[in-house]
Amino acid sequence: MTPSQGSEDGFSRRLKALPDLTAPATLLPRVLAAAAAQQSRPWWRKAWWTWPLGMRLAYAGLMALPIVLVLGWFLPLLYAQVPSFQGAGAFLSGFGRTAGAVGRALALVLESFRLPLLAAGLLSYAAAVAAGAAISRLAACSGHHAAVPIPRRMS
Amino acid sequence: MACDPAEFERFVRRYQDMVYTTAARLLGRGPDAEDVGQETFLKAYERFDSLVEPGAGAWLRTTATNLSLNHLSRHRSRWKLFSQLSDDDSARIEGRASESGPSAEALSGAQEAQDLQEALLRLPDHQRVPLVLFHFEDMSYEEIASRLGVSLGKVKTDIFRARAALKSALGEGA
Repeated sequence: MTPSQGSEDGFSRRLKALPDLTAPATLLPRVLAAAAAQQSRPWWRKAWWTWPLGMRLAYAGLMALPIVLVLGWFLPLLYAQVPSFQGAGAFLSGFGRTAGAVGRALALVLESFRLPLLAAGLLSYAAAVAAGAAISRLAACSGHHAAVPIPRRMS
Repeated sequence: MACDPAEFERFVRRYQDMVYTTAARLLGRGPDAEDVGQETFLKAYERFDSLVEPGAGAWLRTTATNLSLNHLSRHRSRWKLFSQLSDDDSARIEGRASESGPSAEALSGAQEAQDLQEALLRLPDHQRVPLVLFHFEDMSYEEIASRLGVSLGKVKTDIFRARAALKSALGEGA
């Protein structure tokens, strides 16, 4: 250890040994008032992870629904319509063949699945909206106490 | 989340000084530190059931530190203003930290700690924040530079000058 390191360590110890400051007398009542205001909110205005378990599961299911529908309904239809998609070997037989299959599939999809595509688009949009709402709620719950009339600095 | 209000009040009473001190050392003693203290305890309230001793103290400290740094980021213009002061200005501000510093002989241990505390809180933001992160939060120079979005050299210089100002305030010279 060099002299300067020793001096630095000693100074660091002196700083860490400093006692805590005394919190202002107004902090405790502010916190308790804000907590009480938060407690009185309905469950849907609280953080998502504090929702009742059933509601959390239902919300998660709602968000997952579009994805499940797309994966479970639309893709099998596509899979059945495009022969070159059947079997994993098709994907391993070369990039050009796969790319050609994808191109044919897209053309076929555009021709044959206009309605399902529209539905899938709507579902995707709904999923995006749901995800946005969830993110917004999570963001809001991290700072929502500032939006309620909380007594601040009572002094 | 419906916790016992009396239990939560005991919890706040127990940790309020530590949380406030963590915020005040980064933001300066004032309303901002109190705001961060309130925000920290409200986050604790949301997950009060899962906060168990002795980890609750560390969680509160980390949360208060992060919220304070977020607060500094939100007021980035002020932070930049301080950061871009000239060396002459910095020297003048550092001088404030050493104003009326009594001689070392005259100081008892408690008085010295008090003076060190006051000098620390009088340091300009751009010196106090990296110094606190380095000495109190045990962050490396690189971590501090990354967190504050400033160069590594600036972090080292600011910490060096902050130490010098504090030692000067205690009559120990740089």
